Amino acid sequence: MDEISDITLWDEIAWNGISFRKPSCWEIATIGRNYLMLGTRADPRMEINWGNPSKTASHLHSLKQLQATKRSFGRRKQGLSVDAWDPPQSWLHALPNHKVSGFSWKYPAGNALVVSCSSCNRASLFQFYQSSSEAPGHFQTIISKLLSTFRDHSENNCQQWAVFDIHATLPAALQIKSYQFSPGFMAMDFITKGLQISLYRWSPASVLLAGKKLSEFAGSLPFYPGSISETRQDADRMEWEKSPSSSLLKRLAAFLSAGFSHHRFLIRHVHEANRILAVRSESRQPMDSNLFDQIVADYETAAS
Amino acid sequence: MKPPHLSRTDALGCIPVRNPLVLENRLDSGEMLLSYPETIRPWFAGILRKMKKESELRRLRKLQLDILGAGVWDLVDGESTVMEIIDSFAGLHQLYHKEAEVSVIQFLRELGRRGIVGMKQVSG
Repeated sequence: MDEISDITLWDEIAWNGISFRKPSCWEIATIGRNYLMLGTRADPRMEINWGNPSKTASHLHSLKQLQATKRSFGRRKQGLSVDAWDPPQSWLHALPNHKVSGFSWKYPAGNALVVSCSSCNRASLFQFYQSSSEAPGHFQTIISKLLSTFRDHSENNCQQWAVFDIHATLPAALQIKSYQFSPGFMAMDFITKGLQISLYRWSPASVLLAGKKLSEFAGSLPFYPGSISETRQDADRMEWEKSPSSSLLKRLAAFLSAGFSHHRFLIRHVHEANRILAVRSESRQPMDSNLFDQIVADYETAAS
Repeated sequence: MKPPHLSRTDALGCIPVRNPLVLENRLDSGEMLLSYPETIRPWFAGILRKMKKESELRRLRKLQLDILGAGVWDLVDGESTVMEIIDSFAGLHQLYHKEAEVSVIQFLRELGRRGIVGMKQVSG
């Protein structure tokens, strides 16, 4: 079965406020803070850009966003005429809580949807690319299913993150600060007032840990502290914590300092996935231990 | 002459072929030491010939591959396509497919730049 027809396997993608399910063979080709391009091995299949939620947005605001999007789209694809376009009913039914407008362009032909959420007012722009060898009905079915799983705000106070093979759940207050996705190493840093959480993932563990213990690998990391106040470890898991010394003067200096004085780090070897995962927290005040443990428990990798 | 434009599918369907002049030496560590003739631009080769320094034309350079690089080198068998090599490499190390794709393509590009491998385009 080729990639075009194989839509039996689906997985979730969740990144910086939005999430949806997609065919597993649509992989991330490009990732930006508010942008994703997905494609098969052969072709790009979709792009999505999204803005931030707005408390004050109205329908007029959404309309202005749509017009601005169209203008910017026309500028990006010079010589294209962008026309209003009626999306298929199944696409509209898949998004019952959103205002949806469509437009199309020619040479090469394409369709786009501007989707504005009625509750969070976040506007998102979808562009879909149909393969020339794909039946239109088949393509519409895939997109309907994808759109029906689209979420642009969290229902609780948690935010899902699921890109490549890593999945995490974090408090919604933690905003992405920086990220790096390279072969063998992935890192994401999240920040909120007085707290920074970093998630790391290395692979393949069998090569990185060849003839080496996990503690030796952890010791080679650039942020491994010189002096550790507390360490707990076994063969596949190591945790350390560093806090200001108990001396009153040092505690006061740490309190007055703008930097983070409390550090906690947990690294583990996930044998079945051949990965190494780590969570690091840096905070001004000691971090809630239950929250740290929950983040560690929710941070997972799915072996391909 | 400008090389013909290849689609992404065509590029992934190419077969990497080893340069027969490359010598390999597997090290105890699992790493691999490749010795390959230095690629010299024709105009510079002409100058060396005129200067009677032909021995310079046969100079060997060395490239040490780590365990992962040696693994990919082993997969370059003159029959497997780039995509098949990516799939095998990803399966071997349980890598995420995209991760394997990026690293294998970068690696083959580097070997190609040094003249260690060439690419055979599969017709049809």
